[in-house]
Amino acid sequence: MIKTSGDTGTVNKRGTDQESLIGGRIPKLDAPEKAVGLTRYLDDIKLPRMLYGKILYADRPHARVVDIDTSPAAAMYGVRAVITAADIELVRFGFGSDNTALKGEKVTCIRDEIAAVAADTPEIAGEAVKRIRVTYEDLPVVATIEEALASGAPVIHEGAPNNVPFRFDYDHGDIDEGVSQSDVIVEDTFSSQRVAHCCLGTSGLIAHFGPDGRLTLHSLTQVPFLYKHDLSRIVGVPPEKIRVIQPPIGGGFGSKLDVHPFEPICVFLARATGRPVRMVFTREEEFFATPTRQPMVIQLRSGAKRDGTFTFRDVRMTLDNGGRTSWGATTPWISMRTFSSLYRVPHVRQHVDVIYTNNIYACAFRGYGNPQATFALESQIDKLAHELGMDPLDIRLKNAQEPGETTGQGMVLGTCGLADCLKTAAHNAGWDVKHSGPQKPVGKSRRVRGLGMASLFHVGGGAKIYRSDGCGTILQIDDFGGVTVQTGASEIGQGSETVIAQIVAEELGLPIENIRVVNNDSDLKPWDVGVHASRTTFIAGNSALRAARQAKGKLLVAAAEKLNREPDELDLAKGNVVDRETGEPIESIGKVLRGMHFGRKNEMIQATEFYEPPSKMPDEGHKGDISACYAFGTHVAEVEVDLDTGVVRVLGISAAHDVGRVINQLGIEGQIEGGIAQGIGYTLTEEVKVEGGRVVNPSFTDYKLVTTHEVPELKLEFIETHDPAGPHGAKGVAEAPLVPVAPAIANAVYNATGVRMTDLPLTPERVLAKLNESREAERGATDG
Amino acid sequence: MSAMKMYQAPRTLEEVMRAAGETGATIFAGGTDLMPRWSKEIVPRPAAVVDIKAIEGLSGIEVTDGEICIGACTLMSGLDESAALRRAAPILAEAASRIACPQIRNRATLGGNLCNASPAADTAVPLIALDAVVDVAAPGRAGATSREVSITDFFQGPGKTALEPGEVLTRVRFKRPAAVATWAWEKFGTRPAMEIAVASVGVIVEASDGVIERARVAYGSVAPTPLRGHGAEAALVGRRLTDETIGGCVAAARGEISPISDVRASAGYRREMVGVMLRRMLEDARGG
Repeated sequence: MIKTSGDTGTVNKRGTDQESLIGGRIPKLDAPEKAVGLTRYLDDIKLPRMLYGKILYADRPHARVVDIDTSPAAAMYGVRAVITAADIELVRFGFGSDNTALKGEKVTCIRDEIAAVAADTPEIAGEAVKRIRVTYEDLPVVATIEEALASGAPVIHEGAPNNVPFRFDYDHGDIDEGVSQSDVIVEDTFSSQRVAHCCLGTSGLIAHFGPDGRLTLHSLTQVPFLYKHDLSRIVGVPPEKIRVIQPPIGGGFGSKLDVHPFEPICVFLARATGRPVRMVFTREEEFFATPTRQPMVIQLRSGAKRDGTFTFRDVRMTLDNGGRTSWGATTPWISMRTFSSLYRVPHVRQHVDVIYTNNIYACAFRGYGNPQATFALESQIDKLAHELGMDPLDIRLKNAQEPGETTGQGMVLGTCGLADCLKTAAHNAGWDVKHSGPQKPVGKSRRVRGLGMASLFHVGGGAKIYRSDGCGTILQIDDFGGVTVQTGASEIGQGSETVIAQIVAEELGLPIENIRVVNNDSDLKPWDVGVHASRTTFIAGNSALRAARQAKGKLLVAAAEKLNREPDELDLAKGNVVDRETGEPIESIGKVLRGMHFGRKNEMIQATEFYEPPSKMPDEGHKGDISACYAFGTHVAEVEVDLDTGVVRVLGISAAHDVGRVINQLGIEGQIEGGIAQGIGYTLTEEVKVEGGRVVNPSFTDYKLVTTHEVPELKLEFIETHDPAGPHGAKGVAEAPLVPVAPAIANAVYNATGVRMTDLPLTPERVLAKLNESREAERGATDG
Repeated sequence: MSAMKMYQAPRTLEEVMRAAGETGATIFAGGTDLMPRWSKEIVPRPAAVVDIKAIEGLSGIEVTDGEICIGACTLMSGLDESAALRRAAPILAEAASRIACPQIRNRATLGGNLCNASPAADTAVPLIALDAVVDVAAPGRAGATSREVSITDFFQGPGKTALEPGEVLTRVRFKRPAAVATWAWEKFGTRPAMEIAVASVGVIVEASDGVIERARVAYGSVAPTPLRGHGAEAALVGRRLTDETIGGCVAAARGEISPISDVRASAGYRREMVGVMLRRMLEDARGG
């Protein structure tokens, strides 16, 4: 069941000596081009007569717009258009319908877009926006959740007079009963910060109207079909007249799930000038003018029986939504699934308030509310174990679900490798030997070490948030065994292109080099909901697999006819039609294809598939089997804490993930390693600092991503539970590795020092303050 | 518009001084500090820049028995990789090796690091501990004249130096530290690489029979300029490195710095870290 790193030996189902591609270490198909610098990113694309767009931001958190004078900009040589809210039809958009492309009356955060320029060069555009004169009347700034909820607080949007645009409630069981069953109850408040996606490629777009009125977009969106639909309404172009081309995308992580205001702005500039307009963000813009992860405050109360059985969880959560609303306001939906279903728990209640402030706003980010929830929950489970005098591993194993269980939120766990993840990650980290604490520094050193663990629960088979969570595939084979797969799935660096090619090559018995994946043009590719919810390998993989199976069926029928055999006596391998029993090659696939095409019947092989997973949309109480399968994983972190400086160093992370089945070993290792690195940054160093509504560290100088020095040796293991719904048994894994990093590290800090960190990030200053607090309390106790 | 009008790369110091003096051109070496400031518009792009990298004799490290002399255009990677400097004044080589990343160290110069006059300049702290002086070329009626400025006088405030318009820092010089001297330099930040110091400390002490005869202490990122620790030095000289001496030195250090709170750290934490670093350095120096 456990597959170790580097082991690719899967039993060949065809009984031939051909090694299966599934589970192999397959380099990403787009890697050579990227490695030699030939990839043409958005910034490399120049269309004839193209102009450059630039946006003027409000640069004040809360104000009324009194007057905008664009004439000094418009008068500049090389400026082709200057637009403000007065020049466009203001269509409200975003999850809260509280956003418009440009803002003409009121500003609710510093990044609010006031005007935009299209010019002959980026420099002219940059200078022109500076010359636009705007008169504002400043309004009192709501900088924090507390200020937003205070009585008499300034109203940010009229639609939400109390500054609470959304509330979500969930429950299963009965909290009072849970409380009465509990031998121990603990309660804490956890908080987490705003972090940025930090995609290597910054945001951007090229918008271009053809003479026929069709709109072509070179867009970095993760969700091209939803995007087309949303944008259509905002810019007044019918969706059928919009074409979305996705150039190679330098990372998404959820940042490209929404239509952002700069996108319709770029379209309006293209319309105003009749020329293509390109807009690419500077890194500084990327930091203050794109959304972040939601800062959350989570009050959590939970209980357990003396033997460690979990009894209840009671959650109150508040989100700093910022001044506008994106899809990110719905991240509590995913946090609910962790509170309700990570381990068995009979009674759960959760209340969420989404709060308007004048801060920059938040959006989706890898994990979608789950990292915040898991930080709170897994930290508190550690505390419960401590209160009960139990080993943190044992309390988790005691409550880990078995395959076949249905969770309180109605999710059916067909496969579930949680217990194996726990045991494997703990074993590989040397849990039995190393986990004991709090520890004393060795010798003269002022550094102590500790181990901490945390698990995760996430969707693994898509998430039915829309009425369709499907993906289409169009597959065609040429006369020589070359295959073109048009998939709805988008490639944003996660490696879906390679996985799809692997699945198709495996099915058709062709080398992977024969497979060409077309995935970046909405005029060519069939529908797909988009890259989110860790769904692409599962959904697009299933779609591609089914299309390939259709093609294979047709090929075998044609071959059987030609060879006077029965189709089920034949198979495909190594470019040949082979005898299913012996694996003996009989005829090359190319010959069979040409025989079909140029022979009597004049047939070619084309297959289409639209795969819709068997999941269900949640009901009004948020319950239901939202995904076709579920992913689990456990991380154990080892840390060293400097007692004088508060510096936390991660010495190692042992991770075990229930991934169903590994499709591409190399790709999945990359996903997990990347997720852990991103998780370490989230835990220790990263924060978009906002003071009075302003971002004070909009650059990599003071926004601290971790560097290679801070990523320790990682031990990865994959628990293969072979989910019957997944392609070759695979589940989604993309978001999972980031999710449990913070609580694993925080629990390790506790194990090392006896100090429980409840606020992210664990900066040295914050850790030292807590250490000093606990030392003072100890001293007080001794003195008393 | 903020475009640069003129770029010159003359061969002689006289031409540099003329450009800098007459047209107010900004002197430019590695550009690793200037260029990001221009592109982020922290400072306006100057009308003219004068690049000094093509001038002969401004680059290189000369180590003799008595003195070490380093050209202003010597690269940080050059300081890091110089075996002679590693032997003679490892404190400076170590500080240079911890600046930013290899790409930056291959471009950034010692003179640039000093002329930017950042309170966090990584090479300033060891140079203060080494009692360095800088040679400044000044335009004179009969060609260039040279004057010597002590490194502590060179820094006048954040971004401010003792350089007059038209003057060029050409060399950095210091006496070779005694072979018996022990040294330590450390910078504290939230990550081990690509980091601007939250606080840094450099120490050089010479002891005879366990009694400290000479001490130099310097701090970075905890005052408007890189700072010499006169108080901490006085707390060491003539004493043995006992717990009491170390405690006194740390207390003096905490008292003579004036850190601020900013996006990187609070003033209190900076003060605390200077104390921790200094204590650990002195404990290490004592050994055992």
